[in-house]
Amino acid sequence: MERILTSRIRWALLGVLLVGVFASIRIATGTVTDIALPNKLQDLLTLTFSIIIESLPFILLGVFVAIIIRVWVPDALTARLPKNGVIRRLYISCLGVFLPVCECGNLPLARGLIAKGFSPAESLTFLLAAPILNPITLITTHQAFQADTHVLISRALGALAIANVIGWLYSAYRKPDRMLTEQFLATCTSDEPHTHGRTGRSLTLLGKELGAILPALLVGALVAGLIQVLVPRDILTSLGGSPVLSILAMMLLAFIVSICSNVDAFFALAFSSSFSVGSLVSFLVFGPMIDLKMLNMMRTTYKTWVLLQVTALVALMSLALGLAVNYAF
Amino acid sequence: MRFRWLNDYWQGTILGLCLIVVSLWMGLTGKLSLYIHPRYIAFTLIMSSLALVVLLAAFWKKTGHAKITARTTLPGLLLGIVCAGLVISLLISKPVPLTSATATQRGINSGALDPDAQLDTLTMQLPHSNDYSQLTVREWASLLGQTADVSFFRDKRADVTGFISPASGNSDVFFVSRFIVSCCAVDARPVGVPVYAPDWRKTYTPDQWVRVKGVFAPIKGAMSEVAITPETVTTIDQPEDPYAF
Repeated sequence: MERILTSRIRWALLGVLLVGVFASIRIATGTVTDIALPNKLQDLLTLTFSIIIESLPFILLGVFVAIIIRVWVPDALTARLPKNGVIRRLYISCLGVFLPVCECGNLPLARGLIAKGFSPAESLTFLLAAPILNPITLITTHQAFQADTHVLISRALGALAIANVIGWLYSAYRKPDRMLTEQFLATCTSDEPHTHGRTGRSLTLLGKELGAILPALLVGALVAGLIQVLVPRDILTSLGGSPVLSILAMMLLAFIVSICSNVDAFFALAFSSSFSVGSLVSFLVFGPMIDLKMLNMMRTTYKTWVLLQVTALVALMSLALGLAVNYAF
Repeated sequence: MRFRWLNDYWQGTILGLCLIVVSLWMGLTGKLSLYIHPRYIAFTLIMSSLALVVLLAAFWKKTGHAKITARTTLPGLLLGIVCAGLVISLLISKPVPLTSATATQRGINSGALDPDAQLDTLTMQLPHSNDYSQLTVREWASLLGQTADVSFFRDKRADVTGFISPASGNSDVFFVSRFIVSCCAVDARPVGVPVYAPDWRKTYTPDQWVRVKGVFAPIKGAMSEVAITPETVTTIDQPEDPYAF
């Protein structure tokens, strides 16, 4: 008993030491470091760090909820969902109501749901719908576009339809496990250490999930930052006058900017004077589902061919939605 | 070829601890608003503190003590090295806001009107209808986007603060500019007010923070465009909140 306690204290001290070293370096360099980097390189770092810091708390929340569902929630609870595929997916599309975070927080949760028994198709339905069909996103969209109620309605219904169509399409795939990466499947099937009980299993999962998702976030943020620095944004915004190109331009902007779905409506509002309503709706539907940062994070779970297909399908349906909104309003 | 690198557990734990420490340090020193909107600061601090406690509890429970490294491929090793480079940069670099390079690249005042700064609303908010000097860079930029009527701006007084961004196409003009941020620096939109000051590069440099007082007048040689003709240009320190939220 005494040996176990000594060993634990030693490990706890290692953790505190690591935190102390990181904190000391950060405090020491916070005021001293003043290396004059070229503006472009400096902005690349600022943009990359901005994505990382903005996403981090949402990812932590998503990982915590995923672990709670995976380890602490009884299996019977997830089995209570309707058996009929269409109705079941409709339910799943609305699960975001209980977790109103942006898309990056939903990925760890989707991984947890798969581990708990959701099919990959159902996890895609959740992943695509939840960032939009949640109270915070819907309220901010309403606040931003109070005068244009059809933006809110088109966004909500559009997201619901696209997420369910994707789920329906992939539910027909006969070997669903082949949609998932080997690394992720290994984490679902491997025997977690049960020696520490559920608390120990939760703590192990926390480290493993962060190990899978944080590298993808860092690289995704770097790529998104690089493209932002290298691609002049005014090329995209100059396309506002064309009915089709304006939709494509706003979708490309959403893909590059990788902005959080909870506030993207305020960002889109700034383009309302020069872009069509349809292009704004496409921006608001496509962006939370597919963007540079998110795709890189999704690669930890879904195979590349699945992501390419889903990206193409969501893009086409978002484009069609934008055109329909332009035609209707 | 196979290499050895930190396994998933330790990679996640170390990256997590590092990012959490950086977030907490930025939050406690007021630097987070250089990267994210202030509305997220409390959430970031709460989640980071909670995660720090849980990760330290994992050390106490020795959940990852068995193995620290695992075999990996060359792409896996390169990914690890890129991540290590990024977190080291986060640990040692001085937090700074976006520069004039991004303002120029994104296009100052390019097609994005500020919905909170409509002409009628602003005019109603002004206590004295002639006192336009209270308007900020953001509000002037919105007005400049709403009307091209030179007579509206002529002789109106301005008192604005921002960083200098060069104007493309006219070397005698610079912008007093700010970034408007909705969520994080990634969505920052540059707005600015033009200032007509021939040979300004002899005295000032891009990215320098200045306070400009003066009156609007048509630009010489481009009478359909207006700019502030400065009475005073004072260099100032970068404010604690360089972005407009």
